[in-house]
Amino acid sequence: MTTYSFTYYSIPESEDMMLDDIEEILLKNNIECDLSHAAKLSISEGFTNAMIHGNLCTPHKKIIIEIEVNLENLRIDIMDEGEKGIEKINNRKAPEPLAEAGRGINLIQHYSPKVIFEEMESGGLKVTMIFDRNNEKKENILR
Amino acid sequence: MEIAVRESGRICIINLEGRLDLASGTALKEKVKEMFDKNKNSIHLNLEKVEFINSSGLGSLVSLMKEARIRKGRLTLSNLASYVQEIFEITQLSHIFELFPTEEEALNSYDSVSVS
Repeated sequence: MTTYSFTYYSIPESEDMMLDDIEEILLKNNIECDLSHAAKLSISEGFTNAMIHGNLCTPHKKIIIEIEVNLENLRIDIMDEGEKGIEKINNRKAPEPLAEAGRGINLIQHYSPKVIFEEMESGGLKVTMIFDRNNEKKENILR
Repeated sequence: MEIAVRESGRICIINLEGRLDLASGTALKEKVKEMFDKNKNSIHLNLEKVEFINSSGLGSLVSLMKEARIRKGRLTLSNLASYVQEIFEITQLSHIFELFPTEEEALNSYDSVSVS
């Protein structure tokens, strides 16, 4: 098993840095095609939620991403330094058709086979996403 | 993200290349606002080289479409990669945006519709 940990400040520039880091990790671990797209999008949505809704775009507040990769799974944890994380998740409403925001969680739930939202002792939200690498391989074979 | 603007008659064509996310979506909105300020309200976005889009990027496109409609103009999109098209379908935005397989088809559609 290989683990990686990244910490970012809650500033818009962090998003591109984070995506560069994630692309490198995925490539290094031979995670490509559909699984790579699904993981990148899910991480991106989790990261944006952490920055905007968790850390309220407070620049010094951090977002931590931890990644575990083994032959079976890809596990990603995204943690913010916000408050009342679960309450915000539970109180969210379905976006109106012309809403400019509010689609991130739905995309995570669509692309991640397993998603866990939990509130940490600090009040920040931890989002865990687990992808099954073998299922992805089987899907690719079937195609 | 690279944003390249050219004009074809009354239509502004914008080629996007790279990731369309929170930061680049903001940059795109600023660029299109410059077009709107010049009363160019027919905007076509060619997404052929967009390699990644997330909900923030989608949000910026929704914002531009709403602004175009307010100005009695249009925002059309073309050349979506299959992965990008899939995200439009999952979010049901494929029913809301004017999506075209090619830029040519999108531009031809302006001939039959009266816009400013």
